[in-house]
Amino acid sequence: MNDADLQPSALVAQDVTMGYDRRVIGRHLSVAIPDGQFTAIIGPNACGKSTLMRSLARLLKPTEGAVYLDGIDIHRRRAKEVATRLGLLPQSAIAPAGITVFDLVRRGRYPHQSILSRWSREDEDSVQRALEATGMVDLADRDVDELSGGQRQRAWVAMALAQESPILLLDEPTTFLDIAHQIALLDLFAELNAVGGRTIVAVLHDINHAARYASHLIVMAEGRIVAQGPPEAVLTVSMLDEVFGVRAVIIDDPLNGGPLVITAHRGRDAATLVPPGRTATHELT
Amino acid sequence: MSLRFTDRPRAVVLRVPLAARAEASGRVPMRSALTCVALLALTVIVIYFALSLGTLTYSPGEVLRALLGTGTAQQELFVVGWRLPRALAAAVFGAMLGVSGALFQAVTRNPLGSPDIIGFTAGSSAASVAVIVLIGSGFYLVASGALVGGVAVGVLVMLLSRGGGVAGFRLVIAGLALNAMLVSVETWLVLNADFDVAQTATLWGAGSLNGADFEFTAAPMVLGGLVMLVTVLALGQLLDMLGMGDDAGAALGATPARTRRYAVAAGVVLIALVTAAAGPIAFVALAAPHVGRRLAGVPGVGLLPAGAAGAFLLSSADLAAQHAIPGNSYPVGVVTVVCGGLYLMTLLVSENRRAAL
Repeated sequence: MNDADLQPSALVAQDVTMGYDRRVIGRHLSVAIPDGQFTAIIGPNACGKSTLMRSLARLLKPTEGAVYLDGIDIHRRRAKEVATRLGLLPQSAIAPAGITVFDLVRRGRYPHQSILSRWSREDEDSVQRALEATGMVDLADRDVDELSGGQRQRAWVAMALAQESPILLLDEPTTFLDIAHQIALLDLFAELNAVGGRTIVAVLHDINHAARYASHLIVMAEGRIVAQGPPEAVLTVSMLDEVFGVRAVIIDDPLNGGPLVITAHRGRDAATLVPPGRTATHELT
Repeated sequence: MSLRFTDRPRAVVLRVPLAARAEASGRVPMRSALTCVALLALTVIVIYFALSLGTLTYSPGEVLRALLGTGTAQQELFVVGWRLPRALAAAVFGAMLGVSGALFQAVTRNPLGSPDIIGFTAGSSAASVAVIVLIGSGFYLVASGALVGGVAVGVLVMLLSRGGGVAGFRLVIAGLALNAMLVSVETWLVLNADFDVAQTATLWGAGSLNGADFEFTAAPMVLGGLVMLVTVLALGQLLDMLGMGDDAGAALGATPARTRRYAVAAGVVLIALVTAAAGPIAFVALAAPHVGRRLAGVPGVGLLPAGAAGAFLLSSADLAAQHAIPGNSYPVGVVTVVCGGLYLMTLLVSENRRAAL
């Protein structure tokens, strides 16, 4: 019996060592992605977040250990079969030149198609649903190249939705978007999670977004898993200092509940940063 | 069975029930479907002219009667016995060249990554001429020479352009350099050969359908047709996935590395069959995918439009080779080299402007 059997999660990395050629990015990582939850992975640049995502999505074969999907080593399953269970939106994906939104979203149906069934009624309905969920119906005939950054990212998300996988991995889905588009996308992911019951795993850079939207946080640093758990337990002043090297206070989010991280401005007196009438849950270190 | 035309986005959707719960289905964008139909219709018209024109010119009625087997013996000999094999070979070989070019361009991700540029054509030409001059001009002998030479030079060009990435300028430069060297070797071989051998070799090296005869062309045509069918059905979607980048494609369950291997194998088989049967016919594999893609307005590989455009281009080129200058019948390769050279120049200029190289 292997250790994966002990985990209730559908997607588990067990003692994974991963890297490219001879360069090891992370050693002996073990994570379990909780089913039906919104998991956020945070960590400084180049800490191995994307590499972990690629390992979880079967794009990179671990040099040691294994990733288990539904209890089976993911590399023992066929790529197409895995794609019906698990979707990945890679970081900075590039659409083929001249492709329309509809054609891009349509490609999300690939894992459900076969040599004979190339465009079934389900394919058609699923693409329509994905376009509606992302608000892209009116832009379906437009070239992806012509869209704004926010619209383009929504087109890619629509493609991942058309894949209709119960698990959706998103590598930095909000990077390069303005605040309104970031929130619109995160709200969409939260809805997919709450209404559709999809398991969402997103690499996020904004710790407050991670705390607000995710029910489970995974913190990485230098190729290691530093902490995992609910945001309230994971986000601590000492963790922020150790992992990111930033000084901060953590208060209760007055609007959404949960923790809110406020980083210190190095040029100012930190004490003045604590809002009057509100007490910091942790003192600055 | 249902055939539907969806208005947005415009496409033809075909669904055929197979069993209780199974259904075959497919979707072709409207413009792509119309392009293929139009190109094939034009090809049929060209084939008609190829059957009709000649020393003896036949009327549409006479051509039809000859095809149906109700014409005179003379009509049937000219139309069915002599002109039909050549016209059909032009169309089918053209389609094979077009599909082959589209495959190579998809794998190299380079609009110039056709078998002509990456040295396959020059390699098979030089090797076959060497076989003709040094060994003999038996059909299968020359055909195997074409295959071995093409693959060898193709591999060499790929190795030389490695590092610069197959999608780079290096591929084109390496291809052009080897092309020039191979042409000089070929010339040297021909110059040192006996006169009649030299003539056979030169004619073969130009790429010609003059001797097209079902005895030799039927096998490559049927085999090529099968390879094209399997390629379109099994690889079409996978090749489109290559354009999305390896990660996005693999996350959708595509297998980019394996797709590339299959595509190269299919591309080599197609071009080798044509070259073995008709000699090196240049530039159709380069131009047809571009023409098809541009007309069909599809992103990606566009195997069907490439094949349809290839059929039309080579049929037209062969018709021109036979009848453009009255009294002179040229090898079709002469026409494709002249037209293709012009096309390559415009392509290089426009690609350079877009800084794609």
